[in-house]
Amino acid sequence: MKVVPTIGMETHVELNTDSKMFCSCRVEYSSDPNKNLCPTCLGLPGALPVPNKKAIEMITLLSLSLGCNITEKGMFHRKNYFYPDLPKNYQISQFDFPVGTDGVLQIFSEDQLSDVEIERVHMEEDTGKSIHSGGRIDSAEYTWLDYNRSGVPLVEIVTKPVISNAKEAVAYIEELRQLVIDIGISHGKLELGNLRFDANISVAKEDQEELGIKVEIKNMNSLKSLERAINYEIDRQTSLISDDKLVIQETRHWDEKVEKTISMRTKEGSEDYRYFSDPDIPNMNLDKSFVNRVKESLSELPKDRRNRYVNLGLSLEESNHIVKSEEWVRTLFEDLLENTPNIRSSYLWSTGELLGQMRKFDVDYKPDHLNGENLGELITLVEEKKISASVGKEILSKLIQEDLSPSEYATSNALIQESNEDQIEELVLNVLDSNPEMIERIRSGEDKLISFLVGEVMKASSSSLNPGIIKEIIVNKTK
Amino acid sequence: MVDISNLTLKEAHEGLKNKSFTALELIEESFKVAANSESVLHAHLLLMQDEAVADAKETDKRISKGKMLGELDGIPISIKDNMNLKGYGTTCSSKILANYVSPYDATVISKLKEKGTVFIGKTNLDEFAMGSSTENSAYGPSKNPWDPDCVPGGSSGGSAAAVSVGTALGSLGSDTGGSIRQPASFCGVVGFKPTYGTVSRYGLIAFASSLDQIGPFAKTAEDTKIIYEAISGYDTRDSTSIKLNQRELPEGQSAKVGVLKELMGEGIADDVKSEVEKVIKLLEKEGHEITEVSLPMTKMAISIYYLIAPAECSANLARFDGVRYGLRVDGKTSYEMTEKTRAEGFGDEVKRRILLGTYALSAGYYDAYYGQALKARNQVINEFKNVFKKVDYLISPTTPSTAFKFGEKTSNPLEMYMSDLCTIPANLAGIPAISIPTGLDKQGMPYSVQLMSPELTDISLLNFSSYVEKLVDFQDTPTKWRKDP
Repeated sequence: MKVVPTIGMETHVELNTDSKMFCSCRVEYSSDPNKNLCPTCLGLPGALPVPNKKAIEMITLLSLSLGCNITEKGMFHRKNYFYPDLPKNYQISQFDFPVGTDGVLQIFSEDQLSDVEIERVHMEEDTGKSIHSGGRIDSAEYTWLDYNRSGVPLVEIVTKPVISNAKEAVAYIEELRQLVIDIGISHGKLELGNLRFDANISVAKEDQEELGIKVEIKNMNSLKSLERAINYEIDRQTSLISDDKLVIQETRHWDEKVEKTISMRTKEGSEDYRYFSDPDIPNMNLDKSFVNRVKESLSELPKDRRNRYVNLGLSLEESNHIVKSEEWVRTLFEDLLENTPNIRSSYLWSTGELLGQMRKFDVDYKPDHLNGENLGELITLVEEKKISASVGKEILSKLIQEDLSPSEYATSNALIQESNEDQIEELVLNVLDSNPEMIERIRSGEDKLISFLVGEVMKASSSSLNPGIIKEIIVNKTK
Repeated sequence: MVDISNLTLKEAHEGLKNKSFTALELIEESFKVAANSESVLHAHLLLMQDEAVADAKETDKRISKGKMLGELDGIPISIKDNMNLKGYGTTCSSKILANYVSPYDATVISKLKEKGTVFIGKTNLDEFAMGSSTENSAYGPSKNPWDPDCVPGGSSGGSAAAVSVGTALGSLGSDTGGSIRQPASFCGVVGFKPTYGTVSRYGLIAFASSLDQIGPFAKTAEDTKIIYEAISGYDTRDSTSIKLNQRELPEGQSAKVGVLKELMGEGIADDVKSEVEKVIKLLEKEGHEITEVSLPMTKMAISIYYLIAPAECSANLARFDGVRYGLRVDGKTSYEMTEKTRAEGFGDEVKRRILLGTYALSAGYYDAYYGQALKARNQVINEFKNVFKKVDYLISPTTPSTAFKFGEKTSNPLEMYMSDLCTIPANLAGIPAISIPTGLDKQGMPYSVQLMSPELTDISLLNFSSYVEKLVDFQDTPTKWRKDP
């Protein structure tokens, strides 16, 4: 049966502010449990929340980056539910006036660019962490609680149900992650929980107009589990529909070990959070002058960067690769653009050869002395055919290990190759004269003999010659 | 010897400054009154004699060096037990906070500490400030010093009784729907609810955040002004605190006074109405322009209040779950623990309001109840704004009757709620309001009037109240507690 899956993503991003959302406690990941606490983030009686201005600027910046409308009436609501790691037993969040609405994020998936529509971007506070011993909350023997994370500023980004497969969902998270890193509002580390995502998945029959029944999937801790969980869930729902069985609207938990989604039937009926505007926090005034001030700090977005590289001559995939690379690679690449004549060679050297050799030498971090200038110099030597590619690679391995000037190194080690075509032509003609039968064989299609002759020419010379030029001349002479 | 029961805060300050008596003598007198009265009145949940004596000695040292900190240095003041005082319990008169010790000071406490105030104790209240008689205290009610068979009012009943009997020269209460003014009225002292946002709520255990306001009790309006000036001001730790400056109103004979029609009719005892009329006549005699004004929405005030306050309290009190502090009753799961803790820790009235509020906020009911109440509250605010274009102050009774007897209203919550009929509108509008004692009824229980003014005219209202006090000239205090038992 033909079916159409539809996916919507809900993503939480932890901001990298110095202090928490509603108090001045430090946001720190390495601290011992329950160290960064005060009456406010511990929910002590009488303590009050004061919004973090920096966090409001950051969510505004993100909303602007996504092209959202910014509400003028910034309002916080209380979301009421009981859970031991939620100190007030309500979470300060946003409800009907989120900071940003109706945006778009351009993603790159399977060689194509497409737009994912964003429904809302809202601000809230994080909860503490529960560590259950022996089972879940209702079956654990005991539970450890760490409130260091309680009150850390969290932005939730909700897409419309517009994503059509697992690969797109992964591409969406990758793009969002890059965006929050590039605009400087989050460390964007998935492994630290800086980005956490849930997926809403439904499957409809092809001829069906409305969407299918929505199932929410939680507990996907990596992009790999996101992709697997979505594929699993689409298959599960598809076979239910094929068998004319009902899909139940529910929340399911991705179990990494068995690679299945499992129903979390912990509560009956849908939860009523009894949202109401938080009387402890007056409305925020996010007026035009505030928004314009935030706009000034907007830097180049990943999509614009990707577009710029395409215009400079990279393929979409290559551009996307650079855009999603580690920050030092991106910085180095930008520097190379200033120092080399050709964007493609900059791309190949910085993403391919350099990373490969670093891996070979077991170098985890880019050496400080290696920069756009010296690497650019090396690439330019190769580009201008002053050294051969293999000599270039050899010099790069030196450059990774010590600070040197590639052109000085090439000169002092006699690695500069002869590129004077007249001189080379003379040598080629000498070699061809002594091998007249080979010319005939090449003319009749034995191309591999060209390489042999290139080798003969190089042997006949005392200095290093550019093999590309030799080959070109041989080809011309044997036409 | 100093007689603290007849002394105003201002007079005590003069006495200390002129060295007529020492701060230590003053504090010892405080505790003598407490020793004479506390076993009957139960105004306090905690008396802090050793600390108070030590603090008084510090004041005396400062005075001897000529470094007195101001009008509150050495003054005995008590604190309603819903404000955090570092190192001491804050029970809110609830079992759920029986063993809770505050690790921090409320902003008002820090401010008073800087002024050299001597804290003599924490006062009794209705559990979580929900009630009008202190009968909802989990630790037993306080009694009215004028007649121990009568309630002192509530929720800040302990503070009102303490100031009335003379254990303290001032006390801090909190007022969500009349919790300062109503007990002040019942106990014959002055009680002032300031403009919402002028006194920081940081460290006040919330009942209904958009209505709660800390304010002072004292024997005179001038004394309450001294305390108000010390505790008010913008606080970065309270987002709802306001920076705006006070506006001035005419404070003497040129002041225009409106009589609030809706609070001079049905539901108000005749003798209470006559008492307010007596004060109005005194004002007329002084040449004041007196107008009858109508605020139709005041009739809705109790209905609005009993949706908004419980809704906010249902969330504010959710944090008492047995997980981090306070009472914990064990259960098989953490949810069961929280359920049992709350079932055992909260009293009936608190549970009633949590249920009311939870219901009012529930999906499908929000628009009809809570949402509607918010809209109606805006209408109340607008009505007050309009009426204050015509008059400077409003006058009304503070309470529909004088102090009632214990048990009289406990079986009927609605009747109990009606005792806040006259005080709730000022909380809904966020405006300042004060209760001033004016006389005694046939049974010897205090009468009062309530004065209200536009927001941020607190100082003018307090000055005008001093002026009205002089016209009324009522200075009685309950006398029987002065003799040793």
